[in-house]
Amino acid sequence: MRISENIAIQPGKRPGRRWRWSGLLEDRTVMGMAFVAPAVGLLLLFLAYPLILGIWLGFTDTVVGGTGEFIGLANYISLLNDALFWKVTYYTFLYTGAAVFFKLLLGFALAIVLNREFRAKGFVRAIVLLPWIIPTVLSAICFWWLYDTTFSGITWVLMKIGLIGHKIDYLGDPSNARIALIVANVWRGIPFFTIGLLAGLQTINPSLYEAASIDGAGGWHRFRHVTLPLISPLLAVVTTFSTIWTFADFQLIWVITKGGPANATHLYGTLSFQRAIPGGQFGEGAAISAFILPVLMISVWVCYKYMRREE
Amino acid sequence: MSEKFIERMIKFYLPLFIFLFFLLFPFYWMFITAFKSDAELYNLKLNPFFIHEPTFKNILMLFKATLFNRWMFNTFFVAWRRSFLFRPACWRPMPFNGCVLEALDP
Repeated sequence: MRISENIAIQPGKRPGRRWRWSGLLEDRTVMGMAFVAPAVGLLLLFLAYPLILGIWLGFTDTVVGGTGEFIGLANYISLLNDALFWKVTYYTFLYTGAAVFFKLLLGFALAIVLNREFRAKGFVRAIVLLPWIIPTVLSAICFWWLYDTTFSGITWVLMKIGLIGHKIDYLGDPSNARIALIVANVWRGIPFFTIGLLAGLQTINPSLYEAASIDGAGGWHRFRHVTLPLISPLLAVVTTFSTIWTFADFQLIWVITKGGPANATHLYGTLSFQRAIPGGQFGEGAAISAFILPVLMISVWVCYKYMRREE
Repeated sequence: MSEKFIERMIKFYLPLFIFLFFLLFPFYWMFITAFKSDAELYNLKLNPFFIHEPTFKNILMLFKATLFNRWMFNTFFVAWRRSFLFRPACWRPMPFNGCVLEALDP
């Protein structure tokens, strides 16, 4: 009753309003923006805001529990004149380069080994993933105990078979500690490469290998001219992701060495944390972490480029 | 037949077992450490790769003397929330499908 009354009272308005709303609903731009808005809002709130705040803090002298003033590039200038910062830069690049190289090499090799039929295939593929799945803190503590100078199992074996006459100071000696951390990171990162590349290897059509064999290609040539070209886009993407994570690594280093001995194993991430939170120099910490950004941006760009190509 | 078997051994099983040993050894190390007493852990005369006197003391302590139940619940709760209720942009589990967001969150 009431509805019909309303219609009767405002006969002229209704078609107009209806036309406007349905027009909005059918407008692709408006509806597209409306659907994207929640996601954009979340991205701005949870990704863009902390990022911009972090960059802003790098230009201030904020301390924990206090307010800071804008001081321009003073943080960056003092960092560039800091010998420790260059030492950390050196190790960050060494750590990333060496770890990603060995992860790629070993991960790819394991993927090739696993890319065939054998008994308990599914089970082996599942347990190979284990190092990547368990919390980094847990594996870090395990490696910490394994790298203990006195109680290390590795030392015990080496001494038993007579390779060494004295105990190895894995984490007390700067170069040993650096190598030890890279090994721990490689251990943790291999499964990511293996599973990613194994998925790629399985999409390669076997008839390509047959054709190559008929043309007289041996194992190496089949790998070089069939596997590698087909897998290279995926290889680039996987390597890029690993580079991003390794470069910005924190947990492994912080749990095992805390950047020691004598700051030899600090990465940008751990140095930034140490200066910002225990050290209280928020601005300086933010400035250090800003040095991670260029590398991450290059990585994301490379990754984006290859993903486009993949489509 | 046997030549083929040896070839398969060298080309497949040997590398596979070396890899598996490298990847799984720390898990074995973690596992045996969990069932050793402190006295055994710090005894240099014993072979560190075996449990000589298995003990559940460490695990019992975890449940009795700490708030481990609460922490376990927290873990499951956070995992559940993160997995099903609040993923901003992408539902895919692996980073190869063009979803950078998911991958940035290891």
